[in-house]
Amino acid sequence: MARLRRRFFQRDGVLLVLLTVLSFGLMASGEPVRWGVGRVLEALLYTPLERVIGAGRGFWAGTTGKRLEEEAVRLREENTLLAEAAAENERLRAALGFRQRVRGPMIPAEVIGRRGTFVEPLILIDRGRDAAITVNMPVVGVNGLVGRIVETSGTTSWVMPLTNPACRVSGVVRRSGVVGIVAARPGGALALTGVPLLADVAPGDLVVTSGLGGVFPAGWPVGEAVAMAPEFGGLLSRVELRPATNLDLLEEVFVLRGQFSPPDPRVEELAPPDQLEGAPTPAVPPRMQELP
Amino acid sequence: MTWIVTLLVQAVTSAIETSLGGPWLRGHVWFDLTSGIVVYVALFRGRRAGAIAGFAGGLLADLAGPGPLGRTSLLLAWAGYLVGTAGERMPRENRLIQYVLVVLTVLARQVAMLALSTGPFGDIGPAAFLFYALPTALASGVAALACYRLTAKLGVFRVR
Repeated sequence: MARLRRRFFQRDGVLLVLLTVLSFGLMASGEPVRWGVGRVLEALLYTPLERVIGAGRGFWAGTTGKRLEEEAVRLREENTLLAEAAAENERLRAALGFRQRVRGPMIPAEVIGRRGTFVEPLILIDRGRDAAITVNMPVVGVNGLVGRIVETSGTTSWVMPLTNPACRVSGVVRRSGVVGIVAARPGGALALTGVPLLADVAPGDLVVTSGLGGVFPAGWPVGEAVAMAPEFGGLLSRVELRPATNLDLLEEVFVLRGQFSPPDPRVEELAPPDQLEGAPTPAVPPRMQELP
Repeated sequence: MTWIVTLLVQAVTSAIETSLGGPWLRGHVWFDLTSGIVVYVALFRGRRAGAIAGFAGGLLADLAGPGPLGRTSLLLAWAGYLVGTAGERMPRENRLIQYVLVVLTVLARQVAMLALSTGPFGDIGPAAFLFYALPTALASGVAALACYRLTAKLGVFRVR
């Protein structure tokens, strides 16, 4: 037994102990270490790999006929210019209708810049402290939740989108009420994580914000369930989501502040309580009455 | 040089698992290629290489998943070391032994993850083990053997 133990823990045992200590150190570390390791690995492994793939694509394009490609690019540009006017018109109409649907104060803004790769994407908008925007305000688009404000200056603000790994939102499957944490997935996708293995979730289910946590309002669409997959190494499941908002194509957003209502069509059809016939005169809210 | 090849293989495997991990098979069964590579490296390059390959593969798996960093690294580093130690006394060319080692490694990973995880476990029980962990381990063993044959033909690793 002692011989076997000696053989097992010869000098290689030191390496094993070292790796064990390192692993426990990583487990005890927080999110910044995770991002740091992710950034280093991205720089060392994935970025060179992407460059190789990019070079391969370029070579492939060259071999399949440069003239045809140039012609295609020119035609695509013309097509884009023509489609842009129609798309803008459509978008602004949708935004106008959206703004009419949502109650409560909100600040319209335009996307004017982006930063970061898939590790930590951020979006720059053209409204800042001058427009009363503060950190942690939720940001929505016409189709659903976009993210939250993480930094503001006088005239601009940085928005951390849902596809940023640091952005976590409590989500709920609207049909079955299954709750989980919406987290970013590589490639700009989203996933509802921490879902019980046998939870009632089906493809096509809409996942909306649950309102837990106090930062994001409840009821805003986050994404649509596409598939269930096991979480790596765990016995829980994650629900792969197709994001409700395509962040790559995002141009107009709205920063929410104060009290607001979710864009629930059933709610939209009802008149506000104070406009109903026979409705009592709004009194001072009970919580306020209790205050000295 | 072997370390670089090992890390690159683990990185590519991690990228494949990250992008294709879910939809490979129906339901909750998936191919745990990372564990398969750890077993292969441990068998043919020794326990030290197995431990490092396990640590690297586990780190990449942790980065791709929502769990804490270092959890899978710890498990796969130990798995690589143990398999490497066992491989010194076994006919490592035997496919049945390779298959069994991969299945045991994947199963150990699943069970250990259950023990180390801190999330809610409301619905996890024997059924989950039978319909998720066991099929995953068996399927991973088949996939690993296929990869081993391909790798042997390509001559990526020389047997030490």
